[in-house]
Amino acid sequence: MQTITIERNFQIWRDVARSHLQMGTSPDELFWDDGTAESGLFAIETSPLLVAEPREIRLPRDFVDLAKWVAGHVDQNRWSLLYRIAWRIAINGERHLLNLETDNDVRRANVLAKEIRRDRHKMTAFVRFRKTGINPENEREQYVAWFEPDNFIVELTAPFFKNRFTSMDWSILTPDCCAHWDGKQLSFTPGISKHEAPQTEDALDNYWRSYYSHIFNPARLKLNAMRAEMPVKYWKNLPEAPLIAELTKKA
Amino acid sequence: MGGIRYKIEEDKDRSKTKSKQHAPPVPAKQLPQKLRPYSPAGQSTQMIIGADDSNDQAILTQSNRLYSSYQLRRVYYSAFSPIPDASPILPLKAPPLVREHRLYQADWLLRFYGYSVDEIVPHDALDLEADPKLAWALRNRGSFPIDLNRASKEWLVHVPGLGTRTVGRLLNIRRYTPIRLIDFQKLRVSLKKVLPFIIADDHTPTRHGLDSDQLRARMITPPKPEQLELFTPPANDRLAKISAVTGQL
Repeated sequence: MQTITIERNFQIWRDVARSHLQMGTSPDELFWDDGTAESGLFAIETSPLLVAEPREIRLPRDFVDLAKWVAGHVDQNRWSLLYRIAWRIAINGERHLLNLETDNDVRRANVLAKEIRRDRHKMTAFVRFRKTGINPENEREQYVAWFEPDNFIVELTAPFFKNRFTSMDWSILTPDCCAHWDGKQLSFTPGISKHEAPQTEDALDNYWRSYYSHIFNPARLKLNAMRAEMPVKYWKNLPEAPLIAELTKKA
Repeated sequence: MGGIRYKIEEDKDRSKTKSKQHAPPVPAKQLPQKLRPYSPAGQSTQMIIGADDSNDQAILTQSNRLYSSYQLRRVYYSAFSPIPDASPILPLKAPPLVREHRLYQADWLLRFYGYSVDEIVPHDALDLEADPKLAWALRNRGSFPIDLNRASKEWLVHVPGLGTRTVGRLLNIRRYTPIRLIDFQKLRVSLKKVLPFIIADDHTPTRHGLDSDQLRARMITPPKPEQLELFTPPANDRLAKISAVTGQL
């Protein structure tokens, strides 16, 4: 069995998977390590079987779109799941596999993709930027945000922030990966831990908290609905979260 | 309403016959007033339920007319809610909220499931205990059971418990493999709702299903009987307070 280590890059997986599909390697012969598992049991390296001529691989576009989402998940088995689906579509002849929503592999992939899409949507809502200054050269405002995502979604969500806040320089710092925008291009650097991130609050924080407590409507309080829209796991980095307990008690 | 519909249609015809522009598309806000599309989101309206004595059949007939003849995008149903010092022709009590819920369900059946008003409301009022689709199925048991692997889409959406999305998924699946009961669990469909009405690859309904007198009782959950209190606590609403102060009923 062959071990392939792919940390988090979808493009790398795509190239490696394509070369293996062209050779016709079956999914049971490969172990996909995503860099987090302690692969004691399966670290048996064997040389790959070489086939005379690589065959042509055609995968539907739906699969590539699905795979881009699934690649952002933290699930350790995502690469082997994606390879298994790709192999079944391309080599095993199940060309319409993605239509079979009841197939276990497809279901798992759809569940993972849905979780990532939801995570990304929540990230667009719950990143809170704080102003750190103004760039003296070009008078652009500079903002920094700290966020703790559950999955590898920073690269997927950064383009949203680029389009939304194009005229400001911003950085989103996460333990996983940091995204930076300087007005010209989006760049990514390795993640940092919480105590390295700047903890200062800016002047707007107080205004924001005051605004939040004033628009809080106690007559329409529904805690379950609130927790469904604003999951509790995001509260630790939201400046308005400490107010919620007090406001709900008063309601 | 007719005037707005006429203007919307006129606008659509005008944009169709216009010659193709080669300039890049401009957001509507930046266009001059004359060139902006007229009401691009369509037209919608709201009906107040329970303020007069219109029954559900009249309401749904009206909705149907609005959707077909007037091309309305959406009809909203709002339960009437009484206020103090209201006109004497208005009722004093709000209708049950479930009625609003049933009307929305019936509205969906009209728009997306191909039902007609007579099928949904054969008598005056909608059944408050059962949703309209289940009520229709219980009244028309002769049309069931429906074979999942052979029936058309129009019949599949008539099965209680199967919505348009699930039927779309089933149609996708059955092109390649027969549908079995385990698929329902994977599609998160309630087997209890669906089982008496369908034939799958590995299931045919038993005679305790459709022919049973107890079918309706099994399918609906009756509303919880309200436990009235011996000493009713003072009412908290504004009406009661105003009534207590002024003596007015």
